[in-house]
Amino acid sequence: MILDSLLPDAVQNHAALLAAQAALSAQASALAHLVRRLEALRRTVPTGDADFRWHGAAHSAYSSSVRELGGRLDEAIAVAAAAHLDSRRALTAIDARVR
Amino acid sequence: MSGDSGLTISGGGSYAVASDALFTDAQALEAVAQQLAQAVHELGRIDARVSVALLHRADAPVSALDAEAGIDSAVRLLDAAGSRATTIAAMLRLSAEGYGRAERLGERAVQELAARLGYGVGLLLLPMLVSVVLPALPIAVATVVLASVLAPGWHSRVPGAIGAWLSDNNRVLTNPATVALVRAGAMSIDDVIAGVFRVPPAAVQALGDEGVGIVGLGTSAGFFTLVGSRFGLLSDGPVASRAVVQRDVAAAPRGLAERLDRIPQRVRTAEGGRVGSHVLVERYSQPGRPDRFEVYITGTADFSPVAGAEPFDLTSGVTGIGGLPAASIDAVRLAMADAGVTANSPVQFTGFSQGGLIAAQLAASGDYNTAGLFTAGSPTGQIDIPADVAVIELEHTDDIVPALGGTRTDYNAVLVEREAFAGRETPEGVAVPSHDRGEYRATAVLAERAGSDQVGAVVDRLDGFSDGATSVVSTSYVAQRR
Repeated sequence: MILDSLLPDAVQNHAALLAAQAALSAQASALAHLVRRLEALRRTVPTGDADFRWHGAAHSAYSSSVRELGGRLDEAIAVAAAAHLDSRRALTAIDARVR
Repeated sequence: MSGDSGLTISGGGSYAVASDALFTDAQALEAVAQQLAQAVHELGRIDARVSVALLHRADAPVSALDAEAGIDSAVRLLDAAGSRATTIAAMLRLSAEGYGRAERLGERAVQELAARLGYGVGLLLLPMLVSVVLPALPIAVATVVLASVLAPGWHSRVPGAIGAWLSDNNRVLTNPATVALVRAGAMSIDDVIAGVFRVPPAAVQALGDEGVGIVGLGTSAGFFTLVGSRFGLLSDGPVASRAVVQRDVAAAPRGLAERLDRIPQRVRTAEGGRVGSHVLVERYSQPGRPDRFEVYITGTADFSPVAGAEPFDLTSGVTGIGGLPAASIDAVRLAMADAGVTANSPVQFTGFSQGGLIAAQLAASGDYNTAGLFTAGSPTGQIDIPADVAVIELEHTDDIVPALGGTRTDYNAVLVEREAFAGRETPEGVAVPSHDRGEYRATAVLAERAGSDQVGAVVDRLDGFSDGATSVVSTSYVAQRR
C-alpha cells in the first residue's frame, strides 16, 4: 500500500484495470462452465410423470413439486447466464480500455 | 428411465417398499441436490475472484457490478432449489418407508387373522368333517378297490387330471389375491394342526409365528413329512451326485439374466425318462488367490408326492421348506464337495424355484463362506440370510410358488417383485405360467435395467465376485436317490 501511494494515479488505474480484466476473464469462463453444468443438471430433474402406482392427490402433488423445482432451477440458470453475459460485457469494455 | 418396468423394490436393510420408478426419482433428486450444493460452493469461489473494491478501483463498467449482483442472486436461487430437491427426495423416501411399514402391519394383521381362522378350522371344522366323512369311508374304500380292478393305474392319472384342470383355469392360480391367500394359508397350517390337537390358544399364539416363532411353517412341513411317511408319501432318503460334464467356459456371468441362463434344466423325455443335470458348479481360478465357486441349482423336476429316484421332487420341496435335510440339498452339498468347495471357499449361489430354496438354505446354514445369493421364484420367505451376504430375490406377485415359503422375515435381502401377467392374457395349457423360467428371465432383465441403487449395488457385488478370474471351469452334476 505504501508502494501504491508512491505510484502515479495513471499507473495505479492501469494496474487495477489489468487485475479486473484477469479476474473478470476467469469469472466469465467459470460462469460459462457452470451454466453448461447447470443446464445438464436441469435435464436430470425428474419430470414427475413416472408411474409410482400412486393415485390421485399424492401423485399430482409430487408432479407439481418437481415442476416447481424445475422452474426454480430454470430461473437460477437464467440468472447465472445473465451474470455470465454481464461479465463478458464488462470484460469487452475493459479490454478496449487496456488496448 | 425405468418408470414402466412394473417392478417393486424392497429390502436392502430398509422397510421401504416402492416402485423402481419412485426410488429412481428419489435418487435423481438427491443427486440434483448434491450437485446444486456443489454449484453454490463453486459460485462462492467465482464471486470471490472479483471484489467490488477492485471494480471500483478499475472504474469498471456497470455490467461488472450487475454480474456480481447476478451471482449473489443465483447463489440464493440455487440454494433454495437444492433445499427443495432434498425435501422432495426425503418425502419420497418417507412415503416408501411409510408404505413398507403399513404393508408389514397389514401382513401381520392378515397373518394373525389367518392364524385364528386356521385354529378354528382345526378345532371345529375338521372334526366335523371327519364325523361326516367317516361313515362314508367304507364306501370310498370299496370304490377305490373297484376302480383299481376295473382301471388299473387310475390313481396315477389323478395328478394329471388336476394339472389339466388347472391348466385350463390358470387365472385362478395366476392371481395376486390367490397368492396372498396361499401365503396366509401356508403361515396358518401350524395353527390348523394346533387346533386339531386342541393345543391351548395362548400357547399357540406364544409359540407360533405371531409370537416367538418356535412353531411355524417349518413345523407344519415337518408334520406333513412325518404323517406322509406313514403312508409312503414325502418319505426322503439318501442321495448320490455324480459329475457328468466338465468344460471350460469363456467367462463368468454378468448380471441376473445370464445367471438364470446357467441354471441347469432337468426335463422329462417323451419316453418318460429324464435328461439334463441338477447342479452346475463353476470354479473361478486366479493365480495367488483361493478358487471361488458359483453354484447353479435347478428347480423341482417331479411333482409326485411319492419319493422316487428323482431327488428334486415334491418330497424334497416340502422337507426343504421344513428346514429338514432334503435329498436335493444333500445332492447339492455332495456336488459342491466333489467340485472342491470347502467351508472356506468363497461361494455364490443361484437357484430357480426349489433350487433357490436350496441355495438359501445353504447360504443360511453357515457351513459355507457365502458371498452372494440370487433366487428366482423360490419359497424362501422364512429363511434369514446373514446380513453380509449380497442377496437378491425375484418374485412374481401372481406366482404361488414363492408364497409357499410364507411371509418374508429377511429384510436385508433385496426383493424385486413384478406381476408377470398384469394386463395380459395367460397362455393356454400351462397351470402356473407366472412360475415359468422365461417369465423370470424377463423380470431379471428388467431388474438389471432398474434405476434404483439397491438392485444395482447387489448385482455389482454378485458380478464382482469373479473379477480377475483367469480360468472358468464348469462341472454339471446329476443326482439320484439311492
